Amino acid sequence: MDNSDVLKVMVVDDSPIIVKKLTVLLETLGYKVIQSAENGKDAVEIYKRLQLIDFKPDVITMDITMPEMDGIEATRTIMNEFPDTKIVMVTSHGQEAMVLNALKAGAKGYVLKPFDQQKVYETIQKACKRKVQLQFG
Amino acid sequence: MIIDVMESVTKRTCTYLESEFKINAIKNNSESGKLESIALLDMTTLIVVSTANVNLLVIFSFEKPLINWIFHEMTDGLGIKDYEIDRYRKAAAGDVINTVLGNSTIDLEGSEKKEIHITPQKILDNVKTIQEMGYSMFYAQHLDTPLGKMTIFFVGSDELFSKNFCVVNW
Repeated sequence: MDNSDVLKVMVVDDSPIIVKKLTVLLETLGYKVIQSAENGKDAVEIYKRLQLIDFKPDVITMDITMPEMDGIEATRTIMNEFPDTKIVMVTSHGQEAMVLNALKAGAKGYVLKPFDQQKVYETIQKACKRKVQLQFG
Repeated sequence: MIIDVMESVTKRTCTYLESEFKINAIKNNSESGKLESIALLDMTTLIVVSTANVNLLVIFSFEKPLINWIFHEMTDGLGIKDYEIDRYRKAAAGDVINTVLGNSTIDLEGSEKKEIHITPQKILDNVKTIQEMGYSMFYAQHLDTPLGKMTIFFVGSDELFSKNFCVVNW
């Protein structure tokens, strides 16, 4: 796999543990975590900056409950300006209403915490319309 | 009903501690009282859960050995530096309450699929009491684990806890 095939990911979560865990997990899967943010407001600003320097992530993992701006509002804001963005929610919120709100805001997938490697992999691959390989036991 | 919230959160806490950290948590006694008599443990984290009708403060309070073990298990292999331990131990407490309450919304949305909002968690380290405007009563469920005690407090208005927790619709 050359570097152009490696998916670049931005992780958005207010928990530093989740940011580290997701980073380790995603890099184990062969993705490259290029940036993280600890709330929705920072995520929007960082994403815009990365667009300007043509180094945008291929996919964003987005928590929902965060200070400053929640993940659904951040998703809506990013999708309004950059409709091709691939955003996958990674959240503990399991209620149907919240899943629907996230999808209406433009999210391409939804992973419930506590997450496992297979589910994160499948959801990101599907969001990016990539082939899902059966590589886990 | 509020009692449904208590049952869901308590059950999911025990399940989460067992499945993620192999901690066997057993329900011990429960109690209720006025907010000023609340007695928090060593590390505490809280979230406000709200629907159109109800605001409920949910508090998870941990004895130190228990939260230290959860922190250790949660961050194993993540390369946490010594100077980061305090920050990440607080984050571990926050992740427990966030995960349990977020997952509990599945049980609580009901057939009408009502929206349940939860706030970001707030961490209180070595704080023994709380005072919050609009909250006056608490119900506490104590849990015992081999690594120490944990208490889940549900804090709300007098009305919320009247008549055996069954009057106010969730």
